[in-house]
Amino acid sequence: MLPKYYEFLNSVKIMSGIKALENIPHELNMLGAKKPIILTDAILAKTGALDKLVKVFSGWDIDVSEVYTNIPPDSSIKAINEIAGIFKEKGCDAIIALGGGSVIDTAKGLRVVIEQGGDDIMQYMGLECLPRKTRVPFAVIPTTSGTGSECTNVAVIANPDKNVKMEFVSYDLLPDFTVLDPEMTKTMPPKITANTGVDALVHAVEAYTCLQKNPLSQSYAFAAIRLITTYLPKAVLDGSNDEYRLAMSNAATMAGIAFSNSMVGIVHAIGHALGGVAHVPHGTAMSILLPHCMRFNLKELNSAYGELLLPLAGAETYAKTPKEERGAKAVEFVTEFIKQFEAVGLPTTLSAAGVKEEQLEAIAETAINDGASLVNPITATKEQVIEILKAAF
Amino acid sequence: MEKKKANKRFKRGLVGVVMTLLGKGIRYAYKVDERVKAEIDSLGDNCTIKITVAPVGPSLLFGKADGKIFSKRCDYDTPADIVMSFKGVEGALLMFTGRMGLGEGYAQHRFTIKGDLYKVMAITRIMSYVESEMFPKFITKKIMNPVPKRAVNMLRFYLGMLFI
Repeated sequence: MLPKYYEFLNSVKIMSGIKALENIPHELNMLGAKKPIILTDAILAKTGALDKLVKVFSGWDIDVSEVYTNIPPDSSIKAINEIAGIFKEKGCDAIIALGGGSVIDTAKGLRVVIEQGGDDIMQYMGLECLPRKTRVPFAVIPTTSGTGSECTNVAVIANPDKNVKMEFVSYDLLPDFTVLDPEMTKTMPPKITANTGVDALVHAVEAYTCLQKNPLSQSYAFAAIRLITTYLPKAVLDGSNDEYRLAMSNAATMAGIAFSNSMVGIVHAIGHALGGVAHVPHGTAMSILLPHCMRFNLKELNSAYGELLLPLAGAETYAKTPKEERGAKAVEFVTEFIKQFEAVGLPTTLSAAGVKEEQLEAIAETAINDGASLVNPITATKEQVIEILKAAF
Repeated sequence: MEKKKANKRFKRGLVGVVMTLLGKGIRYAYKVDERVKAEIDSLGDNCTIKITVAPVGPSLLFGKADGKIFSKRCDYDTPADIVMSFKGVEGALLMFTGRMGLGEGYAQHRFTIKGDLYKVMAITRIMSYVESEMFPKFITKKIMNPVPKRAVNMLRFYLGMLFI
């Protein structure tokens, strides 16, 4: 059924495939960039991913000497404001983000500060409130297959002083182009592959079912789920396989496009709170929470989850399962699907992830104030969130 | 053309009237509903919230100043810590006449928000509590899931709200 009104936008050029990295200088050149700043993290600088990127600029009249590697595991307002100072001081004119969600979200925040002309990202908090200014060319090379941040209009940026993760929502956060090159995700260890892959699964499931869902975002979500259930277990077992890696990169990007246009729900609201309060990595939080939150939403979403049984479990299981049981079967499938990754060290309970029982109250309080709560089909109370957390403990 | 303009003016006027009532409702609910009090207090002692309709209003300003709850109609350009701005009067009318919930309004991109999104959830809960007092259940159950329980009965709420 069509929603009464919806909006959909994905303006990001997607360059996907083997040796895709090589086309970055051409794209930046076309956008008029001469001195981009590269944002990445210390690990990627060490593992050689940064060198691979810098090498493709050989012979081009583009100066890639400005590199910032000191990005914290959770993108923070302090890092963004610091990099904005460097960007201006060094005369940079474009941004390249090489990394996972934290690096990409930092780059998005940086672009906002530079384009809007200020010096503090906090000035630009809000929802769809940024006026279009002169664009700073912006390229994203994801090194994980999960966040989908390369194609989303959302940035989650931590405010360490308040111990919360803040959301920025604007179409201006969308990069100009993104490069999905299997070479850049091959170094991910199995645990991170599983962790980030489940994050993509959560994006797709929530995008398919949240209040803001629409036929276009649901199409992306549906296709992403099929790719994830087919390729994630294979990519965890054999990370050196180009096909598996590329399939997961595409799945994460599609799930990102889906949730950028549908938003996410209670799994993310609680997940952000788990990150802010108990410092649980985002993908880990998603893996633990998804089955429990699906159970919470099941009464309202039985039919939608039932539809998802097809891409989740395949045509045979879908056809064999009576219509009224498909929703519950989808939850059961997701629980088992995630459980298989315990073998590579993915925790499936909050206690195993290091959360303390006395933190549950603060996590619930933060979760109900997260913007993602708003589009969940059921508005969860603090008490209900505590129940979910206890079940996941 | 003139008829259309008059129609728009009427709709803006109607939204303005409901906004005034909503403001009074928030002030009265602050007195009689602990949940609303807690949410407003959690926003801080000098936090102002403006709800407006682009491009000219009407606009409602509420919040706390010097530790006291207040609400008043204000100009379109009045500054506030958090500004929730409807993109047009039709979307605002749907919301203010109980035909669209806040979640649905957000999902339909009916408004923009400037300011700390972390505080916005408290504002949505305040609106839900007050709307659940102001509107009958057959309306609220269409726009909220779940519908918050009333703190007082509807008649008492309207009387209290009008004479506050």
